[in-house]
Amino acid sequence: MKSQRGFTLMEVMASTMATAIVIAAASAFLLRFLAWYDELSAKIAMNRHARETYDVFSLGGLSSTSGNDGTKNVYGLRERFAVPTSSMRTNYSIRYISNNLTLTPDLIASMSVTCTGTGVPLPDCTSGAGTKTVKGWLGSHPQTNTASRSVSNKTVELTFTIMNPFEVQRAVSPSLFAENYHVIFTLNRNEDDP
Amino acid sequence: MKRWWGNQRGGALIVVMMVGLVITIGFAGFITSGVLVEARAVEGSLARSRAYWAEMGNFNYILSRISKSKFCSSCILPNTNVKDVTLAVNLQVYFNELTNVKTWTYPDESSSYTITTTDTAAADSTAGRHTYSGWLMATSAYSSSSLVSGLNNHLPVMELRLCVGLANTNSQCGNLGNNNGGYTTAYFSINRLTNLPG
Repeated sequence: MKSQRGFTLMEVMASTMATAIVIAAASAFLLRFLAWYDELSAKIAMNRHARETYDVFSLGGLSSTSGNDGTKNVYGLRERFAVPTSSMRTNYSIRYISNNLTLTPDLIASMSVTCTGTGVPLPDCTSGAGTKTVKGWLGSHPQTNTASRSVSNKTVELTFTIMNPFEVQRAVSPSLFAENYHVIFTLNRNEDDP
Repeated sequence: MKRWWGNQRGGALIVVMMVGLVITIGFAGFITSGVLVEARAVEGSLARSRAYWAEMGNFNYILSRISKSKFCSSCILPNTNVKDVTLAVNLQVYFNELTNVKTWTYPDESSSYTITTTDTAAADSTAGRHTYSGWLMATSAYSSSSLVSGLNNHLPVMELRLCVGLANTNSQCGNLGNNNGGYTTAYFSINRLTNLPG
């Protein structure tokens, strides 16, 4: 037993200190990596929802009931004579109306979000504007321009904002999780919309 | 005289810890590099979506425009024997009508984040094409600001090949080597709208 001298107190303290430094560095990096993962996943999800939104506004969809013209078609902007007069968003989710039918795709469970400033946390928050009910990914009301950005009034420019409703609430910079999109659609219908 | 760490057998632990620290730093650098690559890929995906829909808007406008105006420019409908090269000029005129909506800015990203689309119409370049075959093509290109210029070669370029000037709705578009009359009508058939690999 006498040959087993073990470590001195200084050795143990030094090695403990070195271990602590390594663990602290690794932990800090792990936390940062988790934050990166969260951010990238959120942005990938936003890209996916943007594509879905483009599709709905462009092509419309199919309803389970019949509309004004006897079909179940919900006509997209390309198949319309004029842009919808009603808002294309309700509670931050898509609400697209055509042929007296309404599509409300891409819904999430309802959340209550409190505005704390202009654009914080939701893109269309105004300073101290109370609580919003959020059920979707549309950060602002889709805007249509049939004048200055239109060709002979037969095209419409559509602008919308996709946000990540989960990330904006906890991000230090919520604007990182909101992206704008533009597109032009040709209004191909020659007679009034049903 | 022996060095102090030479007397301390536990000094090996310090060396091990130092090695561990170096490995941790190296690993962190490796992962960070991967994250940056992934972040660029996500931003690239965002830019591609924006560019794709900008181009789709252009090409869909053109197809609608052909249906409406029938390629007739300073002529009385119906007109025949209009050469492909002339039809291509008229197609380019339709594209040029989009001048006001060919530049897309995203100031929320940066004042230097813009994507500009350019579309060029021409008679189909396939060898053997006849003068009145009706085969036209259109290609797209981008010029973008410095912020997205690195993606220029990766944005979804499109190519449209279509046969125009068909005599009626049921007409079959002839082969490239056949004359189909060079009609100025609203009828066309799309051979392909290709999203070329970026």
